[in-house]
Amino acid sequence: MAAPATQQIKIRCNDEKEFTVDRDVLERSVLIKNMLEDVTEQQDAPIPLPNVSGPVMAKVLEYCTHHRGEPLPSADTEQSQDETRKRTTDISEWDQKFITVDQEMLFEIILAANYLDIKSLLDVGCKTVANMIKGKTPEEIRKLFNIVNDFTPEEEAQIKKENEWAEDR
Amino acid sequence: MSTLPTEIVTEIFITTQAITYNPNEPTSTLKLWLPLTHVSRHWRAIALECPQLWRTIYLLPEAAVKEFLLRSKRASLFVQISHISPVEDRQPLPSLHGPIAPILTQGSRIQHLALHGLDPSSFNQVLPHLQIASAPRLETLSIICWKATDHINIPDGLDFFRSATPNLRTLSLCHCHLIPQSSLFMNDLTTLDVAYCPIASTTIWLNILRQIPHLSHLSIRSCFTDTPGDQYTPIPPESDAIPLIHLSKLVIEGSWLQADLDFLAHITYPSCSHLQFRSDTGLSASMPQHTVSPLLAFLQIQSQSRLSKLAMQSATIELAESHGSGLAFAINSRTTVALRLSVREKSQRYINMDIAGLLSMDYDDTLFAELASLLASTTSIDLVLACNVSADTLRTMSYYLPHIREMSCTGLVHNALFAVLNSVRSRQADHDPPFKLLESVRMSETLLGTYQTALVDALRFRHMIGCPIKKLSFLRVGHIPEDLLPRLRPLVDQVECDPKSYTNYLQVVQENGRLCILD
Repeated sequence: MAAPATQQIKIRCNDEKEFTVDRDVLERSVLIKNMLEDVTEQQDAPIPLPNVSGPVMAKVLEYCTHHRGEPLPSADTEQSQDETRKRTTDISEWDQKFITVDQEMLFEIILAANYLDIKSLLDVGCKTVANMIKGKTPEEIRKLFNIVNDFTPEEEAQIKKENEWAEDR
Repeated sequence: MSTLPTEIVTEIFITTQAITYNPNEPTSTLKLWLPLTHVSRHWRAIALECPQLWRTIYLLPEAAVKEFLLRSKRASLFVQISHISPVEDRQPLPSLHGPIAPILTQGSRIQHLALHGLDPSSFNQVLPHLQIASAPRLETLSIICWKATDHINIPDGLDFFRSATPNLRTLSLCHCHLIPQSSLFMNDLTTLDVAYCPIASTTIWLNILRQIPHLSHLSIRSCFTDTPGDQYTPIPPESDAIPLIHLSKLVIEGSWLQADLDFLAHITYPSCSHLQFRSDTGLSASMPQHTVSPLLAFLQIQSQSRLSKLAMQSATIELAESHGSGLAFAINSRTTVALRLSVREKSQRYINMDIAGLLSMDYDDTLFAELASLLASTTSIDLVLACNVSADTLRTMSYYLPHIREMSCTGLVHNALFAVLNSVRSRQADHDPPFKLLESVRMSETLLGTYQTALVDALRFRHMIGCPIKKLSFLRVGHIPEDLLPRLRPLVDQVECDPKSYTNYLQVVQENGRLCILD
């Protein structure tokens, strides 16, 4: 007996770019999964995604396709498990390669993962930025993300005091 | 970053702090993430409004600890006090009074408390605080003293956190003289891990377990005070066994065999999938049959349960020889087994082999034959200090291990190593050459010395007959002369080596890209 055909879903991004995607791929997004569950009858109209552009969605779909079929984190995942997950620095080889993009695209992917509620992708994005920050001086971080130092002299004095916490004793 | 909303920046900050987590080096950890709070006013405001960022408390200067407690607001605290003595310079440890007092006055917020590396005098500084505070959110308590000579004596009847720890689920104690039942709210524990706390007999430990019916992980290492001799009174077999129906992992190690066995005989654990058993004293060549039998009976009983991992150590070669069938029976009926059996040879030297799930030893092939079905799919072999493994044994092994592709040798293993490498010469009529598929060899913790020529010869022969070793790794193998690599080059695709093993290794790297220097 032939396997049942996978349902195809249409989505439309904020730049009018449309994608037709297998339902199980799209359901990596909790937002879309909930939307689909709320709709009882099959609709031909594409699902509008006003917060995501076509190029970013293409990247997100690349991620979802690669990870299709993997178990999704349940909504009631314990906080302690969440902590453990964060403490794991490992990003798989594929994910690392996938997330090697320019800074603007990286932040766009993070925003999209947050909007679409794709926890694992948000994790990969946050870990990538965290790895960029880790071990850098404030000046290096400012340079990396083009941030202006706007501290008052009083705040600078407080910061200087805090630096002593991390001095070797 | 300016395009990201505050909640995502917060998430990134928390992740940065989490991935740098190293409780044993609090100041180094702090250096890795604290600078992010010093970047701009916006970033600092986000960081200061994120209690989660400040709730992991290490042994930092008192001012820092107070600031962390303030900034963590009402969040649950993860407290990790690692107070390890700087052995090298013998400096006195800093006093714990300053940082500890403010932390433990927040007892109502502590979710995880780890006191590691304390010596008795440091612990005495902490003790009064443990008595005063109550800890309704406490889930994990871990007290570890590193040095066996510095057992912490916890006064009997000490009222830890006023016994108000209704959420305590995990208790770990190491080198502590504390009978857990005396002072902690234990009934709902799911994990109990006690090591080197020789404070009570098997009978008392069993009584303690009666109070903890929900355990899923139990580890007791070197804690039974029972010793061989006339004073030991075995527990009557008719005593009721304690049902630990949720237990999935059980580790019993390091006490006297008879006590361990008595203990095991008086608990039941139908859901256990991981059993680790090692008895430091007990199994010996002279052991009478009536002592050995319970172990084998125990193994056989376990084989009927849901056990998926069994790790066992300390059996003599005589035991294995005389009870091979028993072991085989116990092992064969499981689908996956990780059995590690340290075998003491007659010469008193240890043969210790992990064969990705099974053992071998220097005796006839009866056991191998019985275990053939388990061995057939094994692809890697680890020879540890196998200095006396004979070529015959290895050849016997090889017939039952037809798919071995990787071998790791640790210790003085020349004879074993060359026996394996050269075994391809000993083809028999109805068998493929032994270790025909072997393609990766790792040597560590040994001296190659004058054996380099033998190594090259063996590799050359294998190459010639079409069974080449493709990858060769050296790790701490003494000085390898510069001229060895050019001799290996035509015979092996990839050579790995740690810097200390190679003379002028940098020069060698420049000359040959295939040499990978191990860290």
